[in-house]
Amino acid sequence: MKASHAMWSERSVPRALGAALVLAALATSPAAAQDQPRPGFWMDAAIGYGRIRLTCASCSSIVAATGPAYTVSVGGAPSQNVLLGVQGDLWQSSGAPRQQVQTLTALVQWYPWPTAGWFVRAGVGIVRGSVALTADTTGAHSTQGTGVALTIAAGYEIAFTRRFAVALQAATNIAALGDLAVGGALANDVIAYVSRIGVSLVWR
Amino acid sequence: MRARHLVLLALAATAALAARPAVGTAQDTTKVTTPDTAGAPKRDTTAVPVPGARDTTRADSARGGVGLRKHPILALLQMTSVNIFVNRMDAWVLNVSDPPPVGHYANVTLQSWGVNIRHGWVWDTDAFQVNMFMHPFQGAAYFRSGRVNGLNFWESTPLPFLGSLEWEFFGEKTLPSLNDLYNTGFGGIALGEMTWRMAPLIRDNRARGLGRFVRELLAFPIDPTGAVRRVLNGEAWRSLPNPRGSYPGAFDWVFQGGMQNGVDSGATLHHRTTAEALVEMSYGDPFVTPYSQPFDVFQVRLRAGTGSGGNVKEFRVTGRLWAHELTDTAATFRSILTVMQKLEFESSPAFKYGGQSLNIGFVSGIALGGGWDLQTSLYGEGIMLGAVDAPRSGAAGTDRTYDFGPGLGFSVNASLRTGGFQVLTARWHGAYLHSVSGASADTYTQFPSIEAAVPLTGSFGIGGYAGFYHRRSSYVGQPGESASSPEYRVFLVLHTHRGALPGEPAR
Repeated sequence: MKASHAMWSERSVPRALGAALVLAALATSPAAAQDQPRPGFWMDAAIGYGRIRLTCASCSSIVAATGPAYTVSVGGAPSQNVLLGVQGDLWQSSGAPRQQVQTLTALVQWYPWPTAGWFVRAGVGIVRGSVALTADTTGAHSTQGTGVALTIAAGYEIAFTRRFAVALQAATNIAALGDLAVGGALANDVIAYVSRIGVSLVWR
Repeated sequence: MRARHLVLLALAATAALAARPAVGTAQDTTKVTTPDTAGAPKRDTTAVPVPGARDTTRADSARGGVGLRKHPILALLQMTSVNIFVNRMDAWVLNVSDPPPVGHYANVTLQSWGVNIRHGWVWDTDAFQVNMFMHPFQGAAYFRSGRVNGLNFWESTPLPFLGSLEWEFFGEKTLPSLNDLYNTGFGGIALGEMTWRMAPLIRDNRARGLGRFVRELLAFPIDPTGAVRRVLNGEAWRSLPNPRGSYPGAFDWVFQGGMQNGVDSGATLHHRTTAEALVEMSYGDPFVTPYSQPFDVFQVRLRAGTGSGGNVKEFRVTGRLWAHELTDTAATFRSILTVMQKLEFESSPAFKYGGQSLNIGFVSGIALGGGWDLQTSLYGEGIMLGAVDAPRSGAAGTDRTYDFGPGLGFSVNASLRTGGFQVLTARWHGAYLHSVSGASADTYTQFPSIEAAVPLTGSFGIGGYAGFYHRRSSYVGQPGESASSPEYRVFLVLHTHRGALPGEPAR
């Protein structure tokens, strides 16, 4: 019973995201997207669902887990189709062992077509991760590391008013955590990929 | 055979894209009606060089950055064309290969694409020069794909990353390398914008004969895609107006030639004497060129020499991303809050250090009277990805003798000058790197140096330099270690200066 409840919880987030996507698509109009004022302050807050995938040079297997992801970004716009800012991300696993990845990145967001809502986002910054790795024959062990993170994202923004929009976004955080102590062994060059999809609310 | 035909088609498409007139080139400025700064339509038929121009927004506008039509799809196609061209050159012309099992790495297949996507990123084991010096040049070609198609600086910044992603996953059979993504991406932005701004200063669309040929030839290494485009569409030999406002208001060159004595990093630590040459170029002047857009002021420093460890010993590009004047522009003492991007590469027999960083700090200047002035700068550095060598660094049995990692740093500079001639310059650079690939290490580096020169004429002089590199590494589970390396140079120096000097009222 408990297991089925956990499964329902894990599936409900992607379903909710899909429903939000459909609703947003139905609610929007092309005219709204063309009225977006981009210069000036902006911020967004996103909730989504992500999957972590861990690799390292000496690991016996690739480890994966899923869980909710949260993002907050603030910044300014130097031109009509470019945003600059900082972004904080938090992803954590739904089940045991508890895993968590936190990143803080400086970002650039680019709208290739100023009158459309498509955008790409890229950022670089620092990461702190508590992850579970299998580096020897004794099973998975929890370990922590600090390193460097790259964020790459693409999405579509739907403007409801001149100051408020909803964005649908797919992103990957590539987090290099370095060498991590796992049990009695050392996992070399650990890289964590947190891939996520989400919906964000955007204020300008 | 069919695949080869498809690639030939792609190459043809590359040529076709390259043959398009670049948005905002001199050719365009005679045809395109653009709004002027007041918003009124203005037909630009008077595009001529403006020596001393301070408004680099106009320069960017004239070359496609502002107010002209943007072509993001064409930018992406041209970026892809660069990858196809490099891949096919490697496969068909150069026939390059890696040691087994990789072999001919450019002969990519659907299977190799699948392997790369499934496996994901790794840290590669290439030599320091390859990773820290050569990759940014490939990134520059991606970046200029955006600039030449009308995108401004910030709009072009995703392109070196996208181009690198495309190359790493689909352009070669080796697993995608995360350090290449960093160095191609960030280095590509710095080198791409630098070369984008330099090329029009070298070319002269009104020159004729041998002079025209030499200028086009000299511009080729810094803007190869632009050079191909100019040959294909005839801009390379047609008489056309030059882009407006290319000159940034101040332009300095420093040339040094001499001998360097430095300690080797080998077990014997013996001194070696080598011949060295240094070129330093300053595009714009923070006290003369008011901030209008990224890289309206930048500096490039290249030092080459004989001896082991490669001929390029030092390469540094620093470009101003943003600035805010904190003082009155007519004051004797001026200070400017500045955000700067830096690409750094240092490779000597004794040590290797490189990285991509964002810097924030103050550039200050004080006019001392009698033609003398003092310029200082103080920056804090966020090192996005650095590389440093140490005895336990890298990967055993490979060309990797260094670690990768993010970090923090600082730099302090002070320069006493007379008439633009640097008489006494002191520098101090410190960095902390936390390794994420290689040894489990935290590395601290310090590099103070001092340089003095005596002007024999207004622009020519003789000088000396002394620097001291110190590194300390601490390791997880192993004792730490440190190393020091002094180096000395004597040189002849030539300064050229054009434009207003700091301390003079801004025009």
